[in-house]
Amino acid sequence: MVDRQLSEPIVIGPGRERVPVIGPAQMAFITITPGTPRPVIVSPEENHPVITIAPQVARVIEPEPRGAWDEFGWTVRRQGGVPIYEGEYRVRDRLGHERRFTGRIEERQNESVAFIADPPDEIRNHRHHSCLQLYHLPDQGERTWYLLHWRIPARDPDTALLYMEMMLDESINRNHRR
Amino acid sequence: MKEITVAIAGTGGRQEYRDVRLMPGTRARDILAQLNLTGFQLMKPEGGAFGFNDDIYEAVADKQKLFAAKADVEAGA
Repeated sequence: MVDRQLSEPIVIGPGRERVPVIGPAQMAFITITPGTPRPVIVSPEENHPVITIAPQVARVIEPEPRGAWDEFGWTVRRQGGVPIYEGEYRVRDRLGHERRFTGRIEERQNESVAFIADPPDEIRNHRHHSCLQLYHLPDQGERTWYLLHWRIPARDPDTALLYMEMMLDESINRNHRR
Repeated sequence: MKEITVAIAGTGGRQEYRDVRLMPGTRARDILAQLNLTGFQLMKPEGGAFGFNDDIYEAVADKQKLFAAKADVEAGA
C-alpha cells in the first residue's frame, strides 16, 4: 500500500539532473558608430599666391632662306652699282682636308663672272683650265687672279660659286665626271 | 631615315624643299626626279657636285642643306 496523498500527482520524468541548455552565448555587443572628429580642411593658404609650374612652349627659330653665297659665308658689296661677292671657294680633298681659295663674283649685265685668286696647281689637270684667264684686279693686291670664261654662263652668283667649287673638286680629286 | 633641305641655287633661298626625308640607299637621281629638278645637279656641302648615282643617304648628315644647281652651265674659252 502506497502511502500518498491523493492530491499530489505522480510525476514521472527524468531524474532531477541539471539539463544543460546550449544556445547562443550571451556576447556583449560593441557598437561602432562614426566618430565626430573635427574635419581638417586642406587648402592653399589665402595669403600665399599659387605658383603654377608648367613646361614652357619652346620657340622654334628656323634659318632664313639664304642663297649659297650667303650660306657659305660670302659677303656682298656694291662697286659702281655692281654687286660684288667676296669669299672663299671650298673643296675637300680625298684625305679630308678642306682647302680654300679666295674668290670673287661680279654680277654683270647678263651673267655672273667668277674670279679665283692663286688657284691650285691641280687646276692644270682640268679640261677647262684654259678657260681661266689671267686677270688684273686693281683692288686685290699681290694675288694672281683669274677670270673664268663661260660657254654657257651662270646667271646668278650661287651658280657661279658652285660651278667654280665643282671645277676645283674635279681638279684636286681628279674626278672628271662631266 | 635622314632629313635634309634642298635649296635651289640662284633663288636666294626662296625656293627650297624642307623636310626632305631620305631612306637608306637614296641616290641623287631619286631626289632630283622626285622634286622635279630636271636639268639640275646636287652639289656637295664641302664643294663639288654629286654624281647622279651617288648614294646621298650615305654622303650627307641629318639636317644637312644641299644646293641644287643648274647642270647646263659650263666653262668655255
